[in-house]
Amino acid sequence: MTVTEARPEAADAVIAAARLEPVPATGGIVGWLTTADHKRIGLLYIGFGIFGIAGSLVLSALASISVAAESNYLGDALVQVSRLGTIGLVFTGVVPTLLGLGLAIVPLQIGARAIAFPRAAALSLWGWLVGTVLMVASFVANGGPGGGKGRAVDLFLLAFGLVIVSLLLAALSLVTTLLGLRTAGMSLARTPMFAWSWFVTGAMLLVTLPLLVGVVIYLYVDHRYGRQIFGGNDGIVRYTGWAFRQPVSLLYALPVLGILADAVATATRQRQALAGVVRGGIGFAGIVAFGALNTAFDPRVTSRVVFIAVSVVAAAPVLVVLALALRNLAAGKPRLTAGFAVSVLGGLLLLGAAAVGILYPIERLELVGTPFEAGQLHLALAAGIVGAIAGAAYWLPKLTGRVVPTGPAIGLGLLAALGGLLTGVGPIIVGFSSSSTQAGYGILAAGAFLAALAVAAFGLLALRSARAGASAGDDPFDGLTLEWATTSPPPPGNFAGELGAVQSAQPLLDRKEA
Amino acid sequence: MLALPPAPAPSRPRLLMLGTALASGAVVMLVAGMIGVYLYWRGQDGGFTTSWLPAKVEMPEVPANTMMATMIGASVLVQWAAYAAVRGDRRNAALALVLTAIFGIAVVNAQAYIYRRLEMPLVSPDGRRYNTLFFTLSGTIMVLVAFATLAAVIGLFRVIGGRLGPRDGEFVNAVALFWHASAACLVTVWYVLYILK
Repeated sequence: MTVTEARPEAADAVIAAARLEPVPATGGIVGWLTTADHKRIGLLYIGFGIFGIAGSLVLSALASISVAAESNYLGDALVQVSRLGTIGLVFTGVVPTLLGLGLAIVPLQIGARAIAFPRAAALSLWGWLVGTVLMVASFVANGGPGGGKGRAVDLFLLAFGLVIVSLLLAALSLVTTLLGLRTAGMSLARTPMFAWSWFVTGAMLLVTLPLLVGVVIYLYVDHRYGRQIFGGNDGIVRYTGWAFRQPVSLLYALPVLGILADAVATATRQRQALAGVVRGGIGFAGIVAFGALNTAFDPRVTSRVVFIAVSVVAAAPVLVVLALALRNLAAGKPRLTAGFAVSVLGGLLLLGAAAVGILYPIERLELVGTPFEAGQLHLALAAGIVGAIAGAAYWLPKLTGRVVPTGPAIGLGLLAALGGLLTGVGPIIVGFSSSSTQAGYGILAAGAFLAALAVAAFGLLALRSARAGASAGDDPFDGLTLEWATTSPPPPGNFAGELGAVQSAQPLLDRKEA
Repeated sequence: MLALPPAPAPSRPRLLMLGTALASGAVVMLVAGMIGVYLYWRGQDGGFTTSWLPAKVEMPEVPANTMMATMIGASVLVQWAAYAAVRGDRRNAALALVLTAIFGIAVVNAQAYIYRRLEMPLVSPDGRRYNTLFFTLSGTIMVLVAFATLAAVIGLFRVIGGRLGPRDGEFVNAVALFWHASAACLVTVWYVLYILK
């Protein structure tokens, strides 16, 4: 008889601990500027991202008021302000904020001592920030889509490319961390749902956004040297438009499903029922968001079958994940936390964004190319914004050691959800009836202002809480996953002691039940 | 009862290889997307049955084919370097990386020669799309090759400095993986630009 001697559990922990040497934190502003600590990088992404969301929403509101009031007080700058609002909301607002949450939290969730390629993650932050500043500067100098100054348009394209490449670098770092730095015993199927959602989102971004980079390279060369192929400045909107339409738009808010599943499970203190189906749902949603890219470049050559199929099925995985996450509510008595309450709103908004896609085939694709598309994008981005508030309210106590007050956070989340909903409903109305343009854009403007106000107020609330909030303790929500097993805020290296081998997707609950 | 010895400790995760694989995938998507745009416009300009080259422009096939063959050769060489580096064979690894870098420079040189021979402006005076698309696509590939060459040179310094073996040789393995991805991209672009024309 042969017996295989099992490796002692302690050995696993030692190996896990030795995987990456922690980067010691340095204090002061210099410490923050030169940091390679994933928690600080994530916090900086979140901070600047919230600023980007609020600023972009204000720009969208200003442009919408100009259309709604038929005053055109923005003059020739109307198109520029509107486009900067949309591009900014996606690439300097929602995506970076959710990415910041991922960079800060995912390594903690999987028991990693650090993030993979920490300097690349830091480079991505500063590259993104410089790109964002240059992008805004190009608009100020009369550049960007709709701009009248050629050199400024060129600068916009370069800055836009830099922003996308920087976000790709961060996604690469995050996905590599998930693949290579999970603690002993934690298979991909045992990763927390937020980590899993970022695995899917990051992988899909890595195969989607390079296509956008390729188009931007063509646009830059063409615009810089000839303006013969892509219609000069006008081509920017036309040929990058697919990145702001269904189904790619749904990809930007996908991590909301992970936030929802984790926050609900913690609030109910229940293991996720049918966790494999939830993972499959998140994965399928990600694949759907990529699968119709072949419909993207030119609406005239849209593969109608694929586009219609995606329109029909996009809502299904979101609905499944939402339903299964909320199924936990029936099994346990939920405690009202901001993360739980607000993430449900985010999930519902994402479901709405995916579900309205079914109107494309119902309306025989006549909604393609109308403001309806912008409405769907806004719904998805609203889901991302609300999800970011939920995620921040849920995990900031871990990162800062200070509680974010539940009541105000829920109130602001609700306000952001309402505003976000209006930003989607307005253009959808206009998409159906161009005679409702004024009303539709009026609704959009009101919603954008409301959401901007809520996001800015939440940013201030989070900042105030981080400075002078009540102490959170290490495990304020009685969490189930590994991020709650360390101190708040976590030390350099994330975990002071040995973690031991993980046995399930809720290792902390295992420990508490033992 | 016979007890087996304890299982060996798992090796350090190959983060660099994982990251390089993901980056290579992203690069392949970038090039695939750019080829898609090129083919889209070609389809719009009369389809695929005739050559898309402007009149009086003759594509120099010999340097194009040489460039493609050189890139494939470099792929073989860099794999030799990876094989040697992981086994701690400094002399072979260094030699292979030197040759890889030289081949990389030769590829860029061949592309520059093609540009020179073409005598075709970046922007067509008669408004043809071909010129800009050709230069942008082939130029992007050259940036990739230049980056891969730079990585090979860095790998060479590491090898010379004694960073060899199963663990330290991972960098050269990663360089090799990126080279293979770049070579695959270049061969595809070669087919699209110089064979399909």
